[in-house]
Amino acid sequence: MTGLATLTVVVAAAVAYVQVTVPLAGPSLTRADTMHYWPVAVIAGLVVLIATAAVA
Amino acid sequence: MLAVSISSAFVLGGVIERLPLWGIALAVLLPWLPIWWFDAAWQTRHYGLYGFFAALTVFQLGHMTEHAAELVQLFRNHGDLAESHGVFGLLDNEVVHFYWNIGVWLGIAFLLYRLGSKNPWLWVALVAASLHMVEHFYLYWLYVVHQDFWSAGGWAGIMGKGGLLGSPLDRPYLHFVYNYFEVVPLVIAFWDQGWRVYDRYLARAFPTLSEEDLVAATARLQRMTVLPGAVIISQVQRSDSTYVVSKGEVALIREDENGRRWTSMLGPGQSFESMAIGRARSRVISAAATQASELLTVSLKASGT
Repeated sequence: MTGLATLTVVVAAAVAYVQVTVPLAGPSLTRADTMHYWPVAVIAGLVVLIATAAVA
Repeated sequence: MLAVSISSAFVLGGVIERLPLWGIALAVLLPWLPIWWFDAAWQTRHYGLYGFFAALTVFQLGHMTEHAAELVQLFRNHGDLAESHGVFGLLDNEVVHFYWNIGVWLGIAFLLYRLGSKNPWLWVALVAASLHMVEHFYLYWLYVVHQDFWSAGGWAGIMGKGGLLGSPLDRPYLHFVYNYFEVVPLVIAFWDQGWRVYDRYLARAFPTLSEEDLVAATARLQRMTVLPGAVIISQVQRSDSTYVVSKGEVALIREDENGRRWTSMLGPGQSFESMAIGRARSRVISAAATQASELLTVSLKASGT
């Protein structure tokens, strides 16, 4: 478990480093626009939740 | 050795010919495909679900490698997304992401359904895969139904920076993290499951053995392949092994205490012993393969059967 925790910390640090040094530029939406299709995300969440519950 | 040689030659040729990265990667992998295919088929025949588990783990490790390659490319290309699509760039699109992740989610769910709660790391992998799946459901729907919105920034998804809920991580970095939490538990779960795996042919031959005994016996199994007509046991041979037929057919000649002899044919999942007098008060005089066959052998003394 110690090894796994160490690996996770190292990977997290690497990802954080890359995010800070190489932020990505690209098209982005306004805050209001990003929320436009929130029902789709909710439906997606419910579908996956039901399917996961079925496995359990 | 042949696959190593061919792969090495392809890499050298690819570098000399300045093939794209995906071409070199494909050239390296191709010679190994037949080996992997036969090995996966053998694993599935002998270990059932464990063979499928192995294949899923291998594919997911490849998936993880792709995401790691993308991260390295982004770092080297100073964040140029157009130049950073992993090794097999053509596969970096929403359609492939969606169906691949569905396949992974279904694969993990199937393993959990069959293996139950004995493998807790599979549950961790399923939770990570479920969160990842929600993202890709949303992204795929946007891509198919509202591609303009997707192109304008919707590709950030739900938790990506600039996405529906957002986070500090840009999409490629976020999805690397999703994959890390899917793949690492899956690898641990696969390793953990290895302690509970047993050969299915052994289980068919000895249905009364406990799972614990089957696992212990499987660890001591040795495999032999024989050609048609090969003699497995001869009249003068004495040993204390049990043989389980896993492929092909073996013809046995047995003799009882009264000297009566008879022949029987054994197929996959059937076993015979080479000791002097078996449980049926008969001994195996000779055993020979009638087809190209594979047998599993285990020492009787060690097996405790």
